[in-house]
Amino acid sequence: MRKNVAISLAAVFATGIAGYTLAGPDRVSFPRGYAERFVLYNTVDRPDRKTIRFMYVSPETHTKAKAGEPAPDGTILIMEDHRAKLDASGSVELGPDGRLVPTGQISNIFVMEKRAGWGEAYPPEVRNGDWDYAHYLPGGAPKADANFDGCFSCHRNRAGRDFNFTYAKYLLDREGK
Amino acid sequence: MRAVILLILAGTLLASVSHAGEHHIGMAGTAYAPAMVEAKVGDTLVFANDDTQAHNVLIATVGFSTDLGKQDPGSQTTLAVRKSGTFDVECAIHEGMHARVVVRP
Repeated sequence: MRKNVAISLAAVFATGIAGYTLAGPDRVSFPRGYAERFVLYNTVDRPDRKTIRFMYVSPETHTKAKAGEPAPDGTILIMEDHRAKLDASGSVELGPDGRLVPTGQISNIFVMEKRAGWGEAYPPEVRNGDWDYAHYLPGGAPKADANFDGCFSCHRNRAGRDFNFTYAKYLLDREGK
Repeated sequence: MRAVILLILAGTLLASVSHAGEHHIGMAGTAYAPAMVEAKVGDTLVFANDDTQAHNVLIATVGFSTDLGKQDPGSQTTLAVRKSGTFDVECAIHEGMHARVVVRP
């Protein structure tokens, strides 16, 4: 009996580990050419990090997406961090609309992609539907020490709208819901 | 005549100063209070975490989108509103925590 319990615990542990190691570039590849091909649907100021986040969605799925419904299978969402323009004292500059002013300097590219069945690799307490994540550096190289625990735990806070913050909101606003 | 012009200018200045106001928004009980704010361009929103757990201020409305980051109990963040329009505030940590801000010219 004790041996069976030990084997079961080992299996659970192994499953958990295997699940976490799936996240990253092995599954979610770098979408080359996204800046030209994808739809830029929002930009989010992050003043505490002196960053502006450019939010992109894959055009093929964007045309099928509907407010209040899960994003279509194959949806790719990208969060591209741009450093904000600073003044001589190191403070962020504001544009005429009161928003941060982005520079062309990109610091991080976070990608989340949804494919049917992907979520099955994760334990229920971690799973984000069928979404998975990757973290790239400018140019497309995977970030070597990327940790995806934060992606999964933060996005679980939006389980009620398909595990994303800005795209679901964009669709709701676009359709006046 | 000059005195009248000066008085008018002073009145205009005072009027514009009085337009810039602060709106305090609490977070106790995992709810923004008030949940509906009417502000004017130039006003400042002060988000005070008077709750016992961490919260956040995320605005995902296009044209106003801002993330003020994680906010621990006892801390406050500010956001100056510099253009008119309506936007929604939500806590990235708590899905049911919402507020709406209407900014008038």
